[in-house]
Amino acid sequence: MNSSIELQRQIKENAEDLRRFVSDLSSWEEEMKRKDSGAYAGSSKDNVVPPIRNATKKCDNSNSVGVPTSEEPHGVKKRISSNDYAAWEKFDVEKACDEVENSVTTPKAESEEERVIKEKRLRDEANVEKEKGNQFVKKGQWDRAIECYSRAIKCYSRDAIFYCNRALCFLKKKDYRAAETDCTSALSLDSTYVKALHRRGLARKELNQLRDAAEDLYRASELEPNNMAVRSDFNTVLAARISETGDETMRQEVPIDIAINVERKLDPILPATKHRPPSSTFKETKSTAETAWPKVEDTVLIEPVKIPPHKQSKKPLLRIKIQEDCEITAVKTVREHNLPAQSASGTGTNVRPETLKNNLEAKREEDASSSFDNAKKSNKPKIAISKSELNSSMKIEASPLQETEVIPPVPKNSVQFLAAWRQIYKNSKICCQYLKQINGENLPKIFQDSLDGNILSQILNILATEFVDANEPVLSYIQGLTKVRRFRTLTLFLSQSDKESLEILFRHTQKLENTSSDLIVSIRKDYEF
Amino acid sequence: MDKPQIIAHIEKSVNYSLFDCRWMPCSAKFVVMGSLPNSSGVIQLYEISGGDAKLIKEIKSDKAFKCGTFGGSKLSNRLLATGDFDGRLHLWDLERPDSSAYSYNAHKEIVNCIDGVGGMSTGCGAPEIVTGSRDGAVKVWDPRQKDRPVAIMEPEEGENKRDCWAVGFGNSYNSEERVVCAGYDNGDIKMFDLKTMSLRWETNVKNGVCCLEYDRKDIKMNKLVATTLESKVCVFDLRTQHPKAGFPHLSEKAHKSTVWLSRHLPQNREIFMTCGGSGTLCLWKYNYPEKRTTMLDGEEMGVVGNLSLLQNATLSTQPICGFDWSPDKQGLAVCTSFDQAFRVLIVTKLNLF
Repeated sequence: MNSSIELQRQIKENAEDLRRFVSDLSSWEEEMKRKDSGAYAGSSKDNVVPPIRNATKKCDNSNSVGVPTSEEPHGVKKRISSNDYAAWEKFDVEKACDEVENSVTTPKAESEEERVIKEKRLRDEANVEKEKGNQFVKKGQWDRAIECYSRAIKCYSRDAIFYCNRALCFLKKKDYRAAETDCTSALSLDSTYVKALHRRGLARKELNQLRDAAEDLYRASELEPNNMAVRSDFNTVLAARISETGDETMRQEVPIDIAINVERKLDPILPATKHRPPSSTFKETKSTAETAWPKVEDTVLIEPVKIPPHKQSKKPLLRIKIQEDCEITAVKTVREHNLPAQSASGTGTNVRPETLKNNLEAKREEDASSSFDNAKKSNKPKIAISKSELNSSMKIEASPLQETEVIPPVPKNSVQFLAAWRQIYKNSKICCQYLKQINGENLPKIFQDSLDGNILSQILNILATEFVDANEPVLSYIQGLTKVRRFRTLTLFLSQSDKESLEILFRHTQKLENTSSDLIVSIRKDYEF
Repeated sequence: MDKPQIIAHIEKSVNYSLFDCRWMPCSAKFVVMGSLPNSSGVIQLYEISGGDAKLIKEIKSDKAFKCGTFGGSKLSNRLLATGDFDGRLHLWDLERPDSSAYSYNAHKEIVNCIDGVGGMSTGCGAPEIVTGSRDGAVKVWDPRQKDRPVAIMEPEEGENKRDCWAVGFGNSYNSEERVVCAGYDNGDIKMFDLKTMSLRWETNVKNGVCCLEYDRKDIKMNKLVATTLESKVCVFDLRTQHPKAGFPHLSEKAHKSTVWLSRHLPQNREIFMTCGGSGTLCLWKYNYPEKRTTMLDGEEMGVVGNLSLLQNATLSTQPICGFDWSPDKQGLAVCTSFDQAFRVLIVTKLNLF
């Protein structure tokens, strides 16, 4: 009974509640409508809203987003339940360890990336300054250019170009000391920077440090053999040195060097490969001029040879046995012949590295037989040394490979040809045999477009001498050469002696191979006669 | 005796499948959204007026809408963020319903769930929207950044991708702190800390997680309710995290079917409604324990309280898939069901708890 009354009361109450709620609701509706219309206007005042997440790291957003990405699978892996034996069997502990390590290194890598980006930005800034500086240089406003380069260096101090450019401005302003310092900075960043070497050479010349100047310019010319400006500066410095010092040894050495340089000047398309830099000559000059070694009669001074890595020989070292008169046998390794003066015996001779080299070359050029054999027999050789009457009492036993001039195999391309030619061009007989292997018609294929005037004139010379002497046919060669690409350009540089050689060849081929005069005329035309 | 009542105040049928409903902040209006029979999408804006819901606006789209929220929008523009079956995230200005304010190709597959925070109405910090998708990814968006999400949480290449069914923001009590919780079909719950961009905590509740909701988004995280398949309701106490034991939790059986949703009452965070697969609603109250922490291995560990069922009601024979409490009127709610009807509900006596 009570419960039913209670229930009735409850129902009544609930109905009352609901009625109240609904009536409340309608007034609420009214209120909300009013609020709603004001909502747009009322709340338009914007509070300060935090920035977009990760917006600061926009540049590497993908990276920052990746962090939780990598995080989640870690979680997934960790969560192998203890009774999931199959999964545990597959669980790679090493990999998990690696992952832990990687996850440790990730933030580091990110900061690394950040650093790289920062550096790049600075470098860009520096480059902008450099460009400005270059503009001022063009206008000849050295002071303003120096300012720009200084700012560039401030932004990014590890670019040799900025220092080198500033050095130019200092040179122009005749502030040679500053120029030299800048060049030195540039060279400490890039030791094979030819411009910096050149400018330091000039600065030192002006500072009257002729020896250092010569050294710089020499190195520059070694790195860029075709740079005529460097070369002429080098020659003037050398000339200045000669007139200043009047050193005996120098007088002896320098003219040779100048002669070589003059020769180069005459023929600007001479390849770097032919003329080995007169390193021995120069080194010699230096050693005699500067060393403070006590002059001991029986010693020889070995200078280190500095050759840039790209010019160093790739060939294995040759083993040369050096036997001395006084029965002391020393085995020394000597670099392949185009790296002269690497080593020599320590005592008992007064042979200079240069002469040693000369010996080697003389040996090679000799026909492997006579003097060497004699020397062997007598065990007391006398090796003739060109342009110095130094008497060596050494016996040199080079390896047979070096001695018996193997004719290089038939080349397949210009690289092979040039490599072989470089070794044999001094020995015209070998050259002749080498050329004989090559079919004249194949020359265009071998050379493609890398035949140069120097090689051409050498080939013509060999043909005109050795081939003609041996009564060998030459028509295919002179025809083949004309088919080489860019041949027409090469004909512009044919020297008088080349033309004479050609005349000989034309006569020879007419006589020997009965070549029709029509063909000769057309070939002549190809050679621009 | 003084139980609250759950009464369907207004019931309205529509000619499309309903998936979600939301009250528009600071108004007597709500939106319902869903899929037309031709699988194109529709959003309708209704206003309560004189015991009836009047259709005010309608938005149509080529793809069906799965979920929506006003959470990330300012009161001044009240942009509705929606996720659709094509993986797109749209922001709609209901004043100008002709086209979406923004549109993102957010996911490769259907956007299952969405949540927003940081608008003037809820929470502090940047306005952000989080979406979870069948493609396994959880992405956080800032409406100010148009082209890409501000954070992505997804399995690595080669990991098998779980269908993400639930997402929720929380812990957004200042401008920096914020966490996102994601629930997956295999029962995984992961809590990502957006401040440190790291996984903060994870657990598995054995059944697919249908809904995750913090009791409040804009306070230090306090409670998290997860509802799952197999009629389970889990409540995690998030005040104290033990280094090993993590967060304490309780679980309760309810509805005798999938528990689709849980929604906390905006006016009282200890009260929440769960919606079941059999068309039932359960109103719960969380009771705190006497002491919220205890010591375990020298570390503080949280203690979970208990749940008391305040009321239950059966509204439909079909699952109730959308439910939203009105933020402006205590006891007023709207829910949608798969029987193609939405109901405006009145829950009385909530002020007594």
